[in-house]
Amino acid sequence: MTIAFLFGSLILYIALNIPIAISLGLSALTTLIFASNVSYGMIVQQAATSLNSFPIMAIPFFMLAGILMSKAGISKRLLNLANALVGSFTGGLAQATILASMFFSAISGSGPATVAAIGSFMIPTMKDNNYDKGFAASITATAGSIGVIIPPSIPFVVYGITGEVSIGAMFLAGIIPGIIIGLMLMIFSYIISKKNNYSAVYKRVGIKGLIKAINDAKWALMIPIVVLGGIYGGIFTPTEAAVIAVVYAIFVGLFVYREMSLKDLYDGFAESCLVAGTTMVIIALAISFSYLMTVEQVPRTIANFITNFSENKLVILLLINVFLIFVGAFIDTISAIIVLTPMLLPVVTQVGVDPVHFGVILVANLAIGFVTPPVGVNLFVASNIGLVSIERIVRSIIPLFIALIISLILITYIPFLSTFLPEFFL
Amino acid sequence: SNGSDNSAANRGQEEFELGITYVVAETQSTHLAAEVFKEKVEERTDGRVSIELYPAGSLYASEFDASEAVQLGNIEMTITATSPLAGFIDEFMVIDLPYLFSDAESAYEALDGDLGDQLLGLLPPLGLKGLSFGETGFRQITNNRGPIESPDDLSGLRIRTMETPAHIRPFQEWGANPSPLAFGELYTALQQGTYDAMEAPVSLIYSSRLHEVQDYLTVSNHFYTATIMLINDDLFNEMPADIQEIIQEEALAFKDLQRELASEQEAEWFEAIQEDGIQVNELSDDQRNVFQEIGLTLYDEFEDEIGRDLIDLAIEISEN
Amino acid sequence: MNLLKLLDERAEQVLAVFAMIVMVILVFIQVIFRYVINASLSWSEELARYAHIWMVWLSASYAVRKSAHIKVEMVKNIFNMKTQKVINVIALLLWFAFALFFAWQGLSMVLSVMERGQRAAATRIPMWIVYIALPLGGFLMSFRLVQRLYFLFNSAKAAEEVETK
Ligand code: NA
Ligand code: NA
Repeated sequence: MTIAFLFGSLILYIALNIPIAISLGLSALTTLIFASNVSYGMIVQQAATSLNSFPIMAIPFFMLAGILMSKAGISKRLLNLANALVGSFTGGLAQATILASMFFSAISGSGPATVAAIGSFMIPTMKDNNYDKGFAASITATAGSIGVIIPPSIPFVVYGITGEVSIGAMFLAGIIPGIIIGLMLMIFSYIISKKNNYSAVYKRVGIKGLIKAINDAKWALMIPIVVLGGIYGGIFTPTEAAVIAVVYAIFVGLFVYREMSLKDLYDGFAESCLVAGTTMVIIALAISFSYLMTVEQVPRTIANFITNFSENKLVILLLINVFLIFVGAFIDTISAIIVLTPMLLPVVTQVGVDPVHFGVILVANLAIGFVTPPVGVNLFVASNIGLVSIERIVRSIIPLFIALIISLILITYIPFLSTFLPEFFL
Repeated sequence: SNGSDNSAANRGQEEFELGITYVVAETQSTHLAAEVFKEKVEERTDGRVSIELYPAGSLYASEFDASEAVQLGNIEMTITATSPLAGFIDEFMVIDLPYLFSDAESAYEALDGDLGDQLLGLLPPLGLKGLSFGETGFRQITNNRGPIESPDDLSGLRIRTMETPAHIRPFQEWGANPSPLAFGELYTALQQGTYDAMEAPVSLIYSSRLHEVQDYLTVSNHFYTATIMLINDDLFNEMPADIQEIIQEEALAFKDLQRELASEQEAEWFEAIQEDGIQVNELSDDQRNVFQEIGLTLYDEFEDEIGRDLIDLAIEISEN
Repeated sequence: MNLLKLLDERAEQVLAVFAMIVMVILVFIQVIFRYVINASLSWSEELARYAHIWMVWLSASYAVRKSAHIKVEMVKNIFNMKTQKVINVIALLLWFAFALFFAWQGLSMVLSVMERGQRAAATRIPMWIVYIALPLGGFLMSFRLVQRLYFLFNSAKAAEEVETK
């Protein structure tokens, strides 16, 4: 009964176009009024204490860093480098979009932010060069998913906190799977480009041109070294690393490239408050929802249900993947992680799945959710900045979606891809 | 959790549903004893009280938040270390003072006697009722540099402490570089060397596998950590006298069982972490005195907040 | 008039940006102290966390003004314009009710914490100063929702809204 209220009202509120954060809070409140004796004060207390956490502050800081890097001129140089590297291949612009998204992923923790940073330049460029606009937007949207797999990654931070898994280990675990997704997308877009005769736009730049592009991008290329090197070198925690990235971006923008004015800096902070605020409010209110689930023993029930069905690790992982793809189509990543981690993590650890490996599976699934309708944030962003209708994008996304699914299967059934780097370095 | 009001009306009896939240894992003495508490209370009240346990921080990951939730009436009960209560009541810091208790026996005597009574008496105005004191036990220092034999060996070590002045100040005086850190980040921070050292009871070191990322353990017994079973005061006062009595009695039984289990577990786990390869040294009486002398100078510093009477009372009990 | 316009556009933004700047500075000097001065600060992290709570709940209201909260438009878009408007009004009213509930419960938490004199562990700041960000956020949000409701029925304002977005 309580569960029906909780999930039923959530679906209703989301359908009514109420923000996801508020829908989560409202459904918790509805349940408290009609079907639970937990006190009303719980919602507000959780909304304060869930934010009163140092590790979780990595999220606003990484968002701020990403925004300031665009304003500092860093993403522009990464694009130039990507074009110099792969722009002369068949479908070079698509290849460069994927590669630039991978580069940008290494400095941004967010999928939609990656789409915005790369797509705002690449979608118009592809359209100008006679690429199908649906394909242009869909390649940008799918490549943006890599943003949350290659570290830093906001969903990994949320998973690490919810599942009590080291955030540092999660970041390392994402590197190889992120590269695999990138390569897979490159292979598929090569085939599509060949079929549609998307020839190269850029001439080969030669070794000299390449060195120049690398040199121009060196301040950008240093960021992953500073951030990840700092975390694994024991110099700072993930949250502190994010702040170092912020200070670095300000320094490069103001003093090295000198492309950022003080007004840009203020605007960057204001923009990040908006993006971080809306994300963190989802977290703050999703916790109340998750609290009621725990009180109602939902995680235990689901766990029993799954293990009664099968105790085979491979079967359970398959079931969970199908379930997560379905969930990812409807729910945003952050609230999905908060709600699902306590439900699924005990089940998979019981059959011997490494919590770090499971984190990568979970986030990879939800990253695919970024590009599946009806709720796919990357689709919305690509549609907005590329001026392409969602329907048009969805039609061209199918082959790329298959590329993502193949990557997901590899990530799920070859644990080594996720666990090798954390085990090697930690 | 719904519909209980109906069945209560049918039988003409008041029913109470109590949720107990705590951060320790299901392997720990606190959980094992809480299971017995639940069983006994439900049995003796004939089902008029039902209890749900929420171990491992599944409802509240922080003890401070859990205590606040009990105070605000968002959850009925918690079992928490007493240290976070210093945020509500300064006097509770007394338990955390360095080298306050010479051994477990004197800690039990103080907390089950006058000192404990005085502290419990401070809780009701804050909306809390304290039922009994359990323990996490004496805390030890672990690090990656070498055995700690004198304050010099602590010099410059980045050590993770709990977020209470009563823990931070002594380590500053002993020459270390204490800094609080979220517990969830501790393992990685030690592994990667962001922190060099930590201090915790053996049970916590073992259950969080922290000995895997630390090379040396010093038996310093520098702080004692007590736990307390808290219930929302208004709720407790609403209960019929017979239920109150049962809960109070079983809370005292909980305390005895938990302490017994805790000391068994501690001995067992102390062996286990040594077998896993952590190198152990024990402070000799002379070495211990050096730390203690410095620690005692801080008692005056906390006098304003804690009150001289309470400090003297604790010392007096411990010395007898 | 101009002051009112400035307040309307900037009030939460300026405060939230200030809180974000405080967060960045505190965490940065925490790292600097640890490595350059070789002394750890015990209060910087705590203070940064409190600034974070403020930043988020001020931004929650700022995001109402900027229509930035993440929503699902899919279902609503099935209907004709008139029905969509009805859905919008219902959504705003439910949201408004939640914001008021949040302000009310937040205030009662603040009063309870204030009465009991709760203080932070490291900085010893009274906790009500931290928690007052919640009822303030709820109150500001409900004000912004009334404003949105007004825009919904005032097409001139609504057009202006679309332009500024
Ligand atoms: Na990333
Ligand atoms: Na989706």
